[in-house]
Amino acid sequence: MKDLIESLKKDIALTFEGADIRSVKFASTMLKNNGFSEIPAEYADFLKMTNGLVWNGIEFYGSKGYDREGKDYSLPGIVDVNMDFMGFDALAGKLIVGRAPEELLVYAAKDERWQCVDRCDFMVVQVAPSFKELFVSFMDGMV
Amino acid sequence: MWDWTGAKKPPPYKIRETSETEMLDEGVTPSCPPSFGYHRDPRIIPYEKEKTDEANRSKMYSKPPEVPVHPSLLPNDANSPWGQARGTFGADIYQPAPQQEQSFEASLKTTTAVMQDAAMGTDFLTPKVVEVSDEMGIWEWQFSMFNLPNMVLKEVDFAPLAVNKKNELRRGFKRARRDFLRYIAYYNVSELQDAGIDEKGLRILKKGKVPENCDVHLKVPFEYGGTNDFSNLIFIQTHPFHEDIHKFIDMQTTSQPLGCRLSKLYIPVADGRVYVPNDSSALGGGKGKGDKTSVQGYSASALQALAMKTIDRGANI
Repeated sequence: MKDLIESLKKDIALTFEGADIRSVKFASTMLKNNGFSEIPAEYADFLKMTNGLVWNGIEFYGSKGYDREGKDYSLPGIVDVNMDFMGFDALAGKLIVGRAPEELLVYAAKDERWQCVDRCDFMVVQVAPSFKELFVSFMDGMV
Repeated sequence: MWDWTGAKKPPPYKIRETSETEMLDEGVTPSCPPSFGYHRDPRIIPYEKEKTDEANRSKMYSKPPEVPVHPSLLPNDANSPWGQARGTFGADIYQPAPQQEQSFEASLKTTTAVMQDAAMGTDFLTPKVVEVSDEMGIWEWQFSMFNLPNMVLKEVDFAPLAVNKKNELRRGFKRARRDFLRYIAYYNVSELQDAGIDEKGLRILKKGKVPENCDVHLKVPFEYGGTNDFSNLIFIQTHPFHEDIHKFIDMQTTSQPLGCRLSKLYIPVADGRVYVPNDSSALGGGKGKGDKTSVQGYSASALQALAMKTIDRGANI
């Protein structure tokens, strides 16, 4: 996973400093208190390498948001994004970890599967057993 | 100095087109020498228009949907009850409930029963159509609350789409997106500059990728008759505009019971291939309009930075 991030960084990817354990735990607790599932261990490991990632229209949310002052926008954190989708029946029991063009990348806690759902109707369009598999499948299609 | 010994070898001979293509692949902007007139990019953009068969969409839907699943999730044990489902794992879960054969028009009339079924959670993947009354006025009012300038509301009708077909369109979208980005990087440069894309951003676009906080948006979703045609794609800023468009669509779709589809959808649509939120593309001239030719090609933030520098310089003097 680290090699993948490094190779994306050499391309046009925007990466951030790795998150510390307390920050991830805090975000996880916030999500849990609001009825979402906790941040899965696999994604927490990813956040420890880079606390968020932006590459070619794909965004993975970190434990906190970032103000990109030079670019005039803010990259939201994982808590903010999930709060925006609170109360959506189609996303019940799912944790949004990222977005792709016209798609959302989610973790279905019930099945312990990583899914890619359509942005308009929230239908599952792709399933992967691990976060790495989902990550690689997206990068392959976009490179 | 001329090499009289002949020890040095000359560089390999390349025809003009080969060297031009290599340069363009490296991200060099095509030159426009006055003697040659307009110098066009000689590379051919591979693009195939999607063939949509609107009439057969409702017939195609009767096939069981196939959700792509990673191979490691497929069971290996032939004796297990899942062994039979190898290749179409999950088909029994996602198999639509047996239904009576009825026309698409007839299904529209049974909306009440359909909504009750969906509320019970009996069938999630079979899209049910919910008739929408003529609510354009309400949604126009809601739309005015959003900050989406230079966009208009467009009414689109639901066009049932088989899951296989939708997956095909999704895969096609990735290719079309890449080709679209390369296309606009050469043919819509002034609009991109109006949208705030700088030289570095243009170089990224020429590689078929998007710069930070930019994306390609499908104007009309696939399930409402959208295709991967370039006319259905638009280059747009992710935050806030692309997100806001989807938030507006979400307001309509999430108010329905789970698994239902609206027969009509009101979607914000902008003209052109690049979304320019402000009117900076308008040139000068005309009564009551300031001459904007001097600021053509600069984003608002760039102009603000220039103004700040000028103020600083004035303070130093």
